[in-house]
Amino acid sequence: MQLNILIVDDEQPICDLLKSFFELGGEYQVHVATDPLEALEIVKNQVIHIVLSDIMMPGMDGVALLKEIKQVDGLVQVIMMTAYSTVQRVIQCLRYGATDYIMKPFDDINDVKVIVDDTAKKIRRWKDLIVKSRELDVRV
Amino acid sequence: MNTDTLFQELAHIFPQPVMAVKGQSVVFLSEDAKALLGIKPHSAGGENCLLPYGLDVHFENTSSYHRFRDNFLDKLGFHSSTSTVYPFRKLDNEFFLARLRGKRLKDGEDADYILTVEDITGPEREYADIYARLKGAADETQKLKNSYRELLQAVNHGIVILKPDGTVLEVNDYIKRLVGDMPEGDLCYRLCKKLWADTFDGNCSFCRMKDALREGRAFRELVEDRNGNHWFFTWAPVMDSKGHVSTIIKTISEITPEMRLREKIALKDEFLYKIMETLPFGILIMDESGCIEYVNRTFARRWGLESRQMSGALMDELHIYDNSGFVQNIRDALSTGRDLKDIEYQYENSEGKVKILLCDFYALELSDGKRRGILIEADRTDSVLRRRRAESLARDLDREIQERNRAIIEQEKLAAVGRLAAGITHELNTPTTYVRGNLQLIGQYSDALDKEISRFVNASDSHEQSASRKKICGLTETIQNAGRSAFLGTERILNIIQSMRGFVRSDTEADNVINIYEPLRDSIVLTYNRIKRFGKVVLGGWEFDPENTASFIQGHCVLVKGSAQRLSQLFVILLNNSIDAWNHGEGASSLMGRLRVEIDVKGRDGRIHVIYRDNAGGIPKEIEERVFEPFFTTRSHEGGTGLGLSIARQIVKEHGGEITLENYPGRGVCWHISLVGKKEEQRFYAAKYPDRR
Repeated sequence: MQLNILIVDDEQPICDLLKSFFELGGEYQVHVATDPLEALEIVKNQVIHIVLSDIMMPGMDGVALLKEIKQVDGLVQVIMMTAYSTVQRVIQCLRYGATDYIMKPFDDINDVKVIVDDTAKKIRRWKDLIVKSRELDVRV
Repeated sequence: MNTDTLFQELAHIFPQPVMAVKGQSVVFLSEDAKALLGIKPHSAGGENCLLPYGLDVHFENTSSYHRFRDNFLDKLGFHSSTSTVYPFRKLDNEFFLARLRGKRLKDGEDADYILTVEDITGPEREYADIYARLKGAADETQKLKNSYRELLQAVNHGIVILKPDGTVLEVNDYIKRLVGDMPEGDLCYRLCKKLWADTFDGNCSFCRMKDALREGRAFRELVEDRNGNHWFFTWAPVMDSKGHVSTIIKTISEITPEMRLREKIALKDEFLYKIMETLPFGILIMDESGCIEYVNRTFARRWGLESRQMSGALMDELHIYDNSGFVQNIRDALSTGRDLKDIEYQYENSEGKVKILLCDFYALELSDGKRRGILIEADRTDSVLRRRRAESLARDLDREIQERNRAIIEQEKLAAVGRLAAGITHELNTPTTYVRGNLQLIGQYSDALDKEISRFVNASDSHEQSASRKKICGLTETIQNAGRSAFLGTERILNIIQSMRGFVRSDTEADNVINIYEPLRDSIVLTYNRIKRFGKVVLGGWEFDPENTASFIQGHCVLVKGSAQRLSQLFVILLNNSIDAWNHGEGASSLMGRLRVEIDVKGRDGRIHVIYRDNAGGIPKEIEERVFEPFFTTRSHEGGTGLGLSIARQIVKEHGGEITLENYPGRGVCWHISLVGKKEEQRFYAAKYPDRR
C-alpha cells in the first residue's frame, strides 16, 4: 500500500530532491508544496499520511502550519525539518504533536528515509490494528 | 625894613599879582592879587590876610594842597623860578586857572615863598579844556577808588593791604572772616597762629612770603595746613601812590574753574600713576618710534630691572622669544594705529625661567597729536601651562574616544557579522542540503540505473526491453536533474561565499572605484535568508533572486568612488533595520502582508543617489530626530546596540556623501544616500571589464 507524503519547503530544490528520493522505492506517493498555505489546502483536500515540513518559511511559520494541520486531521504524522534547532523549539514541536524532528542539512539523506520509513511502519501497524480490531468487532 | 613895605616893593617889582606865603598861610596879597581872588581892595594885612583866604580855602581839599606843596613849593629854589598851573577857587566859589611862578626866600625872612599868580582862564579856552579834563580825571580817580573799595570787599579772595613796613593797612571781609578781628600787629604771625602752627619758627612759608614782600617780589606757594586743607597763596605786591603795598591771598577753594580742572587733572594724573604702579599687570608705554617711555613697577620687576633702567630703551632690545614676530606685530600695529588683543609671547626672566605672557596692545592718539603704544601684559604662565596640559589631556582623551569608537564600530561590525552568520548558516544549509542529498540521490539512482541496464541487457523479449528502456530514461533524467540541482546548489554556495568575502574584505579605502550594484547585491544576498521570510527586495526594478545575480550585475553598472566592504555594511544595516522594523511592528502579526524593499540607483549632478524605500512601518515621529544618535535604540532588550544608523552615517561621510531620511510613520521610510560618482572613469572601467557591459 502506497502512503501519501507531503513535502513542504520554500526551497524548490529541496522539494525536488526529496520527491525524487522518496519516489525511487515506489512505496510513497509524493506531493510537494513550497508555500505553507498551499500545503494546508492539500492536507484538507487529499488523504495525506506524512508531512515533512520546514520550520522557517515565508508567510507562515512551520510550527503554525503544524498546529493547523493537527486541527484538520490529528492523525497526520508531521515530521519537522530545520536548521535552527534549540531544545525549546524541539519540545514546542513535539508538544504540538510533531512525530519527529530532522536536522538540516542532512548528514545522510537515508536518515530521513529511516525516520519516514519508521513513521510509515507505525502507520501501517496502526492501520493493521484498526483493520484487525474491526474484524474482532465483527466476530464479537 | 617894614615887612609891608618890603611886600609893597615886591608888588611893584612884579607886574603880576603877588602873594607871600609863610608856612601854610598867605601873609601878603598885592592889590591886584586881592582883585583876582575876589578879596576887597585895601583890606590886606593883619589877620585878614591870613588863613581866611589862605591857600587851603582855594585848593579843593587838603590833599590838593599837599600835592601843591610837594610838587611845586618844595621844588622852588632860591634863585630859580618854576611855574605850574593849578585850579584856584575865588571866594565866590568861581574857579579860575592860575599859573603860579614863585621863588623861595631865605630862612628868617617874613615869608617862605613869593608867588606870582596869573589868571590864565578867560579867553584862552584850551586852558579851560585842560582844566575840565583835569577835573574829570580827578572825579574818575575818585570813582575808581570807590569801586576799588567795593571790589576789595566783593572778591572771593582774601586781600590784605600792607604798609611797606609790613603792618596791616586794610583787609577785606574774607580775611576778617578767616582770622577774626585784625588789630594792628604782625599779620604773618597772626595768620600763622590761626592757620598753621602755634609755633612760629621764622622759616615758615609766611616768613618767606614776608621776605618776598619786602623785596617787592611776587610770591606763590601751595601749603598744607595742620587740618590737611590746601591753601594756594599768591602774594602780589602792588605799590600804590601812597607807598602802600597790597597783597592778595588766594585759597584753593576759591580757585577758578579752569584752575580747578587743572588741579583735578594733576590729581588724576597722580592717581593714575599710582594705580599703574600698583597694578598686578605690566604696563609699558612707548612712543611712535617704539622707544619705551614708561614701564610700571610690575613690568620692570618681571625683567628684574628698575623702571628708569628700562625707559629710553627700544622694544627690540627686550629679549623676547620672537618666533611669532611679536615685536614686528607691535611695530606694525603702532604704525597703523591698530589695537591687538590676546597676544601671547614668551620671555626668559633674569632667573632664566621661561614666562608666558598674554598681552593687549592699544595704539592711542593723544592731544599732542602724537601716537603712543600701550602694552598691557599679564603673566599667564600658570594658566597657559594648565591650559596646554588640559589641551593635551583633551587630545589624549579624544584619541582614546576615537579608538574606543573604532573598537565599538568593530564590535558592531562583529555583531552584524554574528547576526549575519546565523542567516548565512541557514542560507548555506539549504544548498548544502540539496547538494549532498542530490549527490547521494545520484549514487542511489546510479545503482538503480545499473540494475535496470543489466535487466535491459538480459531482457528476454522486446516488451520487457521497452519497459526497461523507459525506466532507464526516467532514471537518467532524474540523475541529470539531480546533477543540475547539485550544481546550482554549489553555485549558490559560491555566491554566498563571494558576498561574505566582500563584506569582510579589509579594503576600507574609500577611493576605489566600484560598481554600486556589487555591494547592494552582496548585502541583499547576506540578508536574503531573513528577508525572504517576510517579503522581497526589488533592486533597480528587478525582483531579487539570489540564483541569478550574476546576469543582473552584468547588465547593471554604475560606478562610485568607495569601498565595497563599507558600502555592503551600510546596506546590510539598512536592510536589517527594515527587517527588524517589520518583524517587531505591525507587519509581523499579519500573515498575508509582505515586506517590500525597493532600491533604486540614479545619477544626477555628477553624484550617485541610492534611494532605498521600505514599507516596514517607518519610525515614530518623536524619535525621528534621534535615529543617527549613537547608542540610541528601541531594541536594547533584544541586544540592539543603537549604533547601526550612526555607523551608516559615518560610512556615508567617509565616502563624501550624505544620508537623509524621509519618514512616513505607520508606512515606511525612504533613505536618500548620495555618493561621489565617477563618470570619467566609467569608460576606463568598461574597457577593463568589457564582459560587465
